[in-house]
Amino acid sequence: MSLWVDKHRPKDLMKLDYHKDQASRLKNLVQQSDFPHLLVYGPSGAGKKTRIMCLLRELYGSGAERLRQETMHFTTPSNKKIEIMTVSSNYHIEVNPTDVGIHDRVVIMDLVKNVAQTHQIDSSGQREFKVVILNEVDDLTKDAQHALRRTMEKYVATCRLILIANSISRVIPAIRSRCLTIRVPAPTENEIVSVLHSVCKKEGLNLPSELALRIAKASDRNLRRALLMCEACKVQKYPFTPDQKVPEPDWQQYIRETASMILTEQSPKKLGEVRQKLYELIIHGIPPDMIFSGLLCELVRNCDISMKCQIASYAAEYEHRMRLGNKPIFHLEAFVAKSMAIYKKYVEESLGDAF
Amino acid sequence: MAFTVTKTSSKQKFKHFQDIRSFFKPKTSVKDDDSDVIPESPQMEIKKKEKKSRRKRAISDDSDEDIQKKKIQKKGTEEDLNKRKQKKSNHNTLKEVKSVDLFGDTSIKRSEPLLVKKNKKTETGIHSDDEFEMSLLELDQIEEAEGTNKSKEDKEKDKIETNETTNKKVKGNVTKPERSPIKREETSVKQERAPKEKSKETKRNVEKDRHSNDEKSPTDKSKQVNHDDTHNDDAKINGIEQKADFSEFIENTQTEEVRKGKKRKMDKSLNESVLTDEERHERKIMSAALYKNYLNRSGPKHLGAKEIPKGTPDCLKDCAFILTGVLDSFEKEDITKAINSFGGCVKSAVTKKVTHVLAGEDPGPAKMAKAEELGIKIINEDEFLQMVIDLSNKNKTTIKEEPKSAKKPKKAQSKSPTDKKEINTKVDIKEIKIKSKSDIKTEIKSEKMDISFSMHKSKSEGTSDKIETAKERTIQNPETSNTGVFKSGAQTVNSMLWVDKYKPVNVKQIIGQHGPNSNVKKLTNWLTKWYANRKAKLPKPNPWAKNDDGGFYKAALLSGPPGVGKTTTVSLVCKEMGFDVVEFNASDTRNKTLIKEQIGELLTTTSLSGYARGDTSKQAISKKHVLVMDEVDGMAGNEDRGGLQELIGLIKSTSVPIICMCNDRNSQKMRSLVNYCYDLRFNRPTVEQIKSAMMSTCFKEHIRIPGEVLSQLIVAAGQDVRQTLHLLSIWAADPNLADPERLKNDAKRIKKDVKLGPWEAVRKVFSESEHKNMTINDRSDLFFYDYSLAPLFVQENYIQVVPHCPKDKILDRLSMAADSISLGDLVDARIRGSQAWNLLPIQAMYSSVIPGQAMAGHVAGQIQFPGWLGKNSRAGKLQRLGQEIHAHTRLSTSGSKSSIFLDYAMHLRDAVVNPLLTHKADGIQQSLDILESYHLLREDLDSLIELSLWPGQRNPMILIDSKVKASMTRLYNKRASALPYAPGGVRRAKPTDNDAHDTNDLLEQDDEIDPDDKEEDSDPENDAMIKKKKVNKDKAAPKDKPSTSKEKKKKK
Repeated sequence: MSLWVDKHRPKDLMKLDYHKDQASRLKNLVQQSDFPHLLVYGPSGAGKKTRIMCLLRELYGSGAERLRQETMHFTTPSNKKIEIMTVSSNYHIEVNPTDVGIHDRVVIMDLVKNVAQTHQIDSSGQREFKVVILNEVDDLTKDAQHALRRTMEKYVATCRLILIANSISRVIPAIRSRCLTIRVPAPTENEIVSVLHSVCKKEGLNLPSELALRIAKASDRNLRRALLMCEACKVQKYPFTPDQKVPEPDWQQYIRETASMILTEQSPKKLGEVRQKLYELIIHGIPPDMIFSGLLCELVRNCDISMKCQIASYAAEYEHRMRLGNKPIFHLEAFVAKSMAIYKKYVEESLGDAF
Repeated sequence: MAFTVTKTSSKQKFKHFQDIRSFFKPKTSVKDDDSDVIPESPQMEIKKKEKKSRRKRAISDDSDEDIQKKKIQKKGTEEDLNKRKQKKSNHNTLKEVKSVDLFGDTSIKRSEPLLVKKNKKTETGIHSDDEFEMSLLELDQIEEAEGTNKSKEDKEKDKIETNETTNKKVKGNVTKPERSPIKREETSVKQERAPKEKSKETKRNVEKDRHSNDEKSPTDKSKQVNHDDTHNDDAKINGIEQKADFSEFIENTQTEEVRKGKKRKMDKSLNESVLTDEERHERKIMSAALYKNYLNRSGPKHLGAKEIPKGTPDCLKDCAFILTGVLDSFEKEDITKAINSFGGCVKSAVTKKVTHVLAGEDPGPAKMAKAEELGIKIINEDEFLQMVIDLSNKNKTTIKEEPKSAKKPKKAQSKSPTDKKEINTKVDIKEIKIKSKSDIKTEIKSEKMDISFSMHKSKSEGTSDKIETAKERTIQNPETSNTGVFKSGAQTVNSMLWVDKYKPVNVKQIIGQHGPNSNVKKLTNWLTKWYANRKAKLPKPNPWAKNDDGGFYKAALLSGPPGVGKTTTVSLVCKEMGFDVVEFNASDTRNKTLIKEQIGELLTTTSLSGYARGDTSKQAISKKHVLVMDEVDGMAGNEDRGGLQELIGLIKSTSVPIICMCNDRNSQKMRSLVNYCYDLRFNRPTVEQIKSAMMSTCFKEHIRIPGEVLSQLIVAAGQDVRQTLHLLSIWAADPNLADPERLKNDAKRIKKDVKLGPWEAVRKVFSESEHKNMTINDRSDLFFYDYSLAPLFVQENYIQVVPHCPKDKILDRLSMAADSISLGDLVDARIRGSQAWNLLPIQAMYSSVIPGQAMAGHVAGQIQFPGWLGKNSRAGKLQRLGQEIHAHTRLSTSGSKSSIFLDYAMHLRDAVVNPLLTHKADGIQQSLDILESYHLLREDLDSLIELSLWPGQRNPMILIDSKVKASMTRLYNKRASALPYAPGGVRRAKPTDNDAHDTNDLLEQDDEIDPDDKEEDSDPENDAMIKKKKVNKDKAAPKDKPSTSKEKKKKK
């Protein structure tokens, strides 16, 4: 018994709930004999993985759904032994190279070579190529990405790569140009509502459309989150009422608290407290860029336009620095200190104007 | 290392040269004799014995060797003395001529006082406690005698008093003219000072002895007070009782001066006590008025009218000045500076040491009165200037001339013929060593004849010879002067480092460890009570308790900067307490096994060191060891692996005291150890404390270093006694030592390179006061003390800094600092990413210098250890847990790792926990279904909870009944669903909740089975594809060994 989000995942390209045009195009693509490298990107919870699994099923039949997990071992040039968990069927192998941190280059080179160099013996009724799925490509190190681009060309005859990323802005252009990029946009709120309704129908529940809409809004157009929230709502209170509370993820609440701390008081002491909160967020694995955007959204809510610009531009600057640097907390803190300074100045000026 | 001058020891030397002058006064010199005289009259004996007894207490550990050596020395000296004596008696009539001649070869004198000193020591050494008691008895008897009649001692005193009162003024007059020649002589032949000062010193001792004597016998004291009050009466009595023999009379004259000082004090105290309240009030008013005047008084009238003449740098060497009143044409500061530059010193209060009172307009009446009372010369400004000129001229001439000639007038003046006669007669009567100046001269003569020292060349050879002899003497000196210190005669002192040479030989000599709260006291106390404390079960003291005697602890940890005397303290304290020291320091390998085997064995054995010393009695075997682990902070690296842990284990089980020493008790390595140790922290001694010891060392080594340069040196060495001594010894080898300017420059350049810890460094980074005298390079150097930690420390602590700026600017400064720190992180990433270590200076700027500049002020609180490290490791742990869960749930979920953190964790947790909460045991099945469908392990549930729990939230598992939890675990193990992965690498998370015992047991079983699991998992059969069949068929899938064992049980 899984959660709804996994239980009711569509398994066939044609059964997808939204982006149906895209689905049919994918189907056409698969039905041709050849098939390019794919770079699938889109926000979290949009259905990238779901589409890829459907695609594989379309390619190889149900055999692609017989998954197994294997641990593969690699040795880095510095003689460090690393191991990585892979999910594979007979036809494909899926790996998350960022699991091994900075050694991802070794994984990509070895793994792709391994897979690509073994030819399918029995090619009758089968495709001539295997598929390698690489997750979180945008988080790959530059080294790994560069290692990837040559292998992509070299082994194109025996293997196809499907790269999954949240955003292609951090994928080097060389890779982008070698792939067919498929954008999977986040579902609209209406699409989410309809999915929620259909899921509830399958579960035999009656979901008020007001609640569905509220959940869709709260989910940030993330279908996964919307389904999980919906289920949580059901656990909390069933039968549904239109005005029932939609449980929000804890970390969102936490970011909001942090932002309000910044707005209530601007002092070094408060900065120290904010720092602890930021640490807590980072510890809990909240990606720092989400912290940045969360803070910014809350901060700009109640200030005038000139200040909004200022704060947003600083947020962008520090977020950029954070990507270049090692320690996100430094940059988050610098941003908080900056916005405190700006806000304080603004408050003092407006107070001065009042008198 | 730490060397202090004990006041009690006869080795004491005088740092203040101005006192030397008193030597040449006839009476003082006579007095010196008396201290060493083996007296015939009972009073003398008493005095001497008192002295001895006192010294006994001080140097309790003087060993037998010492005595033997001294005996030998004594023999030698006695021979000398006899010869001298003969000569003296022969030359009684020719004395004046003789002395003049003799005075020329002052260089020989050096050995004389040493001999005397040694003799003194032997006396003290020889006398046993019995003798002391005898002397006490005698004292009592005398006191009884005093009851009826005046004891001889009293008579003496009386005589002294009368003499004094009559002679006081005369004496003052006599001494004054003497001064300058003496000075001249001293400057020209500085070597002479040593012997003189020694004799002076002994005189001091005598003085002190007398004091103690008096204090010991209250009756005596009271009597003396009486004498003070009734001078005249006593004088009369004295007149009657002057039947005492001649020698005694001489004695009286000697003691006279000794008494003087004390008497005066007594007079004063008496006077004060006599004052009525009214008088006091009047005085108060007076002083208030005076103070008003003082505040209102004008500055110098003719400022700059006169110039301070150029004098030689040491023309005022032996002068101590008191400045009072407003000078006519100089500021006080200028004069002070000038005096200091001429080698003199300026005192703040009128004491006996003061030689001149430089009075201007409106001098302080109190000072003047006291100065007059003490017979100090009062001069005005012009006289002072003249004095500078005269003295410097004389200096020059004397240096050119033969020192002999310089001495002539002095001698003639200083010695009245009667004095000499007295001395001589005394020498004849009592066969003793003589210390008085005239005696010294005779000694010199005799020595010149007896001993054929190469350096003793004829005086006519001139100054060049002098210098030579001086050099030789400095070489010779240590050997003679330190015989008391070093008992191993075989050791050649010449080759020793000063640090070893002047190592304290008893605890009293350790610099800065005298107080009742000193570490020496605490350590002694702790060691004495150690065995007793082991029997008494003491509670662990509060770590903040102030006056803890460490009774709870079995070990002590001495921490402090290098060169403050930690090791010295331990070795001396142990020695005095009679402990045998087993020492291990950084040069020994101290790893786990070695400590366990070697040291552990050592501590259970008994020491036979008593036998080695030739002691065959039962006490030779002592069980009193103490284990000294020196430099425990050096116990690191591969060789000493596990050493600290083993040491802690040793401390827990030890049956002997353990003393550990380290430099930084806050260091990471010491963290675990400090909890088991009595904390004794050594602070750096103050500059003054070190200075006094160094002065005496300098004196012994015959190097002259101005006081201010010395303090500069000490500060530069970071108040490190050892370092200071090393520096001094280097300077001593420098031939151009005489130039004070050069010394000053040298001292400036000497700057001890201390490695700052990150704590101190970060404090400096933000301290505005420190910034004032730091260049930008210095500031970036602060970063380089530890370039990996410094940015973290700065980042952690910049918020706490209170910048010295307008309040509304604080946030701007803060954000400026934060901005710079963030840029520093970029540089850091570049450095680490591409090994661009040449960027470090840039990082230093961004991460340390700029934030420091922006936040320049002071650190308000305590410097915190960077929290980033802890947070980072925790973040790493949660990442790992998240990754595990991600890996486990991979088959059934889509989504990346971050989606686990952001979305799944909370909902999965709720999905598993809620059924347990709502349905208790009935919900177990449901929970397990969820776990199974997501291929989660039981431990993953704990990880999930850890991931999804935010501060301020309650752990939902706490609400679950532990029975439910236990049965759930049991059921989970029974089900043992097939996992699509090898669970071996997962078992990192410990069960954190308070599960029932069986949970743990089962988990342990799981652990044992792990290897098998892996094998099975590598089997290609073990796919997800055939999972379902397998589950039904046999439960041989990874997790079911525990269950199979259970099945076996069932079968049974």
